[in-house]
Amino acid sequence: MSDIAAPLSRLMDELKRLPSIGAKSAQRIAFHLLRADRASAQALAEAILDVKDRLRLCSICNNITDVDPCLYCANPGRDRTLICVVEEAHNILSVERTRQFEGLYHVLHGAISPLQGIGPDQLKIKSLMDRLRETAPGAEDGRPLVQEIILATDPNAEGEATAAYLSKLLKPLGVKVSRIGMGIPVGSEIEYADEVTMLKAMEGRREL
Amino acid sequence: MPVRDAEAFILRTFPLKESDKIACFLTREFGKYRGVCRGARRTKGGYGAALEPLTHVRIAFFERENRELTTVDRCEVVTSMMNAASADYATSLGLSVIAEVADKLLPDHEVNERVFRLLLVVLERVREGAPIWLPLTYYLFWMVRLAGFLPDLLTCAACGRSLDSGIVNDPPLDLRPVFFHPREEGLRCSDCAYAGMSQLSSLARRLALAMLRTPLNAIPVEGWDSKETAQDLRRCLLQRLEAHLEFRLQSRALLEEL
Repeated sequence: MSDIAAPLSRLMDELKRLPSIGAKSAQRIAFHLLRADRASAQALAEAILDVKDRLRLCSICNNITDVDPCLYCANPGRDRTLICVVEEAHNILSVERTRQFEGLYHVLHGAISPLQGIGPDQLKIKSLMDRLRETAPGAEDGRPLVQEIILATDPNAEGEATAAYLSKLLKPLGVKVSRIGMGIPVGSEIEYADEVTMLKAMEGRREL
Repeated sequence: MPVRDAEAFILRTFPLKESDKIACFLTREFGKYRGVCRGARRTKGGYGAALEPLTHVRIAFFERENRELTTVDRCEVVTSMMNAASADYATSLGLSVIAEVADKLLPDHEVNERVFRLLLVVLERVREGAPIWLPLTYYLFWMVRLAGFLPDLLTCAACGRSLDSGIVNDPPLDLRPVFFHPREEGLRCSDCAYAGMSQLSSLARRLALAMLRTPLNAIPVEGWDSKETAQDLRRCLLQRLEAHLEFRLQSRALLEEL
């Protein structure tokens, strides 16, 4: 027989299934919720259900949204000739924080990871290819509307494999394919950069 | 516990908590270990590219009593595979197979100098720009051989006769095609082969025999540009590995889809 009341035990078991939540953390959160007033607990439960009920993928860019198309795809002020390809929907927020990028996005929902058995078929690549079939308004030569694809996948082995795969796929379509710059993080010191990071920084240097 | 300083290859990493990683690494001096790298997922975590798969590093780590995971104290790049891997999709897949085979095949905490030297040689050849199919095939061949799973390349496992009876030239140039199957430990001649067995071409067996005698850097790269070169040999070697590991390698499916 369990030492803990069944509803509390069930809550702890459910919390333990969340990422980064172990037995101790689950116990702490469960007791916090037990002590909280009913309104707070209900607000949390409703927020979780709301996420599951109302959120879906944008039919154009696969961003997570409550309206389809998402606010980026629906915004007429954004540059439709430019698409930034990211691994996950939360990566969009990082790019948006720069307040410099005015183009559209495409979310792959992952990266090619041979060691985890994740291949190109499991990513949202087909919908990206479909977007490139859209021709520029008034273009009689069938020129695609999209002129540049920025590959903003993570600068690690999986992100690089994904970028290499996409580049091979996209270049024959006559679209400019670029990769985000890599190198030394702002605020750090060159002295502590490893040789790969330094090499990438040198390769991506620009004229002043 | 004292800090251990070692030469190592990073085999793979897993995310841990908010910003940490668990790295699986093969050291030259102490064998294969897993260790926690604190803050490794942060932009300024201090690890940079050191934890990318197959990076040759100097690593310092320490064990704690009754803990399976070690703690990584420091990890510095000696040579990296990032440039080679990012240049070409096939190369990145091939490197994934190399890392996965080492990770799955080698037992923890068991020193294996020969596998370490094999990795050094194979990865150097990849960095030099050799098409991935040559170093990958050489690596798989020697991993199967070092693990003791390599079938006899000259004798039929069923009837015990020479697979090339009647061919007298030495070295044999005109070898006969032979047959293999995941369930069979050895190769079979055409008389003993049964339906469902795959063919290992004459060329593949000749390349395998050459790999037994020739160091990787002495094997010419001509003819290795295509994935079709020695594809049957790689399939045979991967089948042998999977039969002994008793599971399918994750990276193999993607390599075969290429």
